[in-house]
Amino acid sequence: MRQLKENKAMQDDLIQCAGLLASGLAVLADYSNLKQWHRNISGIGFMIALVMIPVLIWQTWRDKHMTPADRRELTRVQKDERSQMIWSIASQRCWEWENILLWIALVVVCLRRQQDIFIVLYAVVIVRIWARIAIRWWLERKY
Amino acid sequence: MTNRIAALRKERRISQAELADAVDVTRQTIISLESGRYNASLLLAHKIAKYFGLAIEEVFLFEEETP
Repeated sequence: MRQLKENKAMQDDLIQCAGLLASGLAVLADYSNLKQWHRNISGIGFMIALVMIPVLIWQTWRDKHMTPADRRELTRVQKDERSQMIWSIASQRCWEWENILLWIALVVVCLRRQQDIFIVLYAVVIVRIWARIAIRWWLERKY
Repeated sequence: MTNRIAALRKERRISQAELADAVDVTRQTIISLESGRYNASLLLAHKIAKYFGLAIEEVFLFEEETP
């Protein structure tokens, strides 16, 4: 708990996650009938915006009114080598889990014959793999 | 790799927060270094050694890994 209190970058991540979770729950509460989703896509977007926009406004306001000491602390947390190592391991784990989930989603979508969603998902899988290869290639050249 | 950060800090009555401020890392990093859960980079090891006015090998003890 103390770690969370001291780590402003982690607080930001948690606030954003909480915002997304709240908007997801709001969407589910209002559109519990999943079959109506395709008819209510603008409503879903509105619900997400309704929760996420105040969160973003609050974060912007907080960043503007940060004291120099707070700003220094935030920069330190972001530059801290252990934090960066943790961030990189977390990103790697997320990448692995995202891959598994995306492939499961592709199989499900394929079995349900939802061609449009399949094309979008497949494009996402391909683009992210190529983006990773390109970024790695660029970093290999840099270091 | 082990280190003498906690001992040196106590010897000189320096808090973890003060050391963290001086070498520009978070207090959590100092805690992890002291407990041996995290190994410092060469740059951080250099900063810490410099802060204590010692050579890196006097603060960080490298042990040869036995096969």
